[in-house]
Amino acid sequence: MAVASLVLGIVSLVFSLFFSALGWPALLCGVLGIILGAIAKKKPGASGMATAGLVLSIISVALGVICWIACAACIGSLL
Amino acid sequence: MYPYLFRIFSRDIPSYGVCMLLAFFLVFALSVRRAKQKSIVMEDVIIVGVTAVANAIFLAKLLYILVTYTWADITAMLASGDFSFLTGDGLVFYGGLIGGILGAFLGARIAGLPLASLESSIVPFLPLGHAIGRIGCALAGCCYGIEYDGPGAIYYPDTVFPFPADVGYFPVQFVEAFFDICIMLCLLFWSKKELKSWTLLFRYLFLYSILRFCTECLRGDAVRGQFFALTTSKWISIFLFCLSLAFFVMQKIRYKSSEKTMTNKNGPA
Repeated sequence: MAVASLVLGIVSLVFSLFFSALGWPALLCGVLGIILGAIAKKKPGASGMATAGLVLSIISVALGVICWIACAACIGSLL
Repeated sequence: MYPYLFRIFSRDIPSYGVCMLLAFFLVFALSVRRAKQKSIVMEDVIIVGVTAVANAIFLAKLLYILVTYTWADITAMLASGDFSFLTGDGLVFYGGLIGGILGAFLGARIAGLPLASLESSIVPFLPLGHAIGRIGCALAGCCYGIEYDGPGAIYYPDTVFPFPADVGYFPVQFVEAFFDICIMLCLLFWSKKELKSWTLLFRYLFLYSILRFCTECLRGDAVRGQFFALTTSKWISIFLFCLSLAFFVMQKIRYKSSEKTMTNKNGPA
């Protein structure tokens, strides 16, 4: 699970930084990377790989939130 | 006002995105700090929070697509390879609310803990995130107020929406942000007491529904449709208000009934 988190974190970060058209897939990979990284970190003897995956995924999701979920999201907001 | 805050590597950074990020991190950090007092680990809060937010955005987007496009439009766009409607602008908060709640239950299931245990850690800070988001709205020029030229009027000469430069608007975003902070303070006060499960959440929904119903009158961006002279947001607020009231009434009835049971068990003094 730690390895999966790391891979997803790297993929997500690459998508976020270099392929702007893949914004939403990058966010999806990042979210999955965060969840898997957090689950892996909870297990006893969690490795640094889980932490690395979690951190990379958080960074890529943060980039995604800034760059793609802009205020035009407010259009059509019902609440 | 300021739709873009700064520029990095030839990319304009939208102010609303920065506000959303700030809101997420602040709510997470404060929730984690509170959860630690109840021996709940940071990773559990992350799992529940991220699952809730991701699901909220997904359902908000899905609902936006469903209310904006007909099924024929959607199939035609997919058939022609045009996926821009999937990644373009537009989210529906109502879908986000439902998605967030469902996502939170799913996240709690994944983390292996009851969602109610996180209620007092997360719910008090939700209005704070909302308030920061409203500031982001003001900066970007969306969710604006009615036309107004009194004290505190906001002018939007340079935003993502085509506003006339000489027309002022009521600062409804700042008013909502202020009262969101007030709601947060009330929730923080109540969270220190021993409340039954979900009482804090429903108190939040109760207060927010009143706030939203009132500020809806001051909103100028009523593009959300109307049913029988009330906007959709007002109907949703009425629904949430009634739902919260029903919860409080049920709680009161259950409390009285359990008191009666205890009295019958112990017998008259």
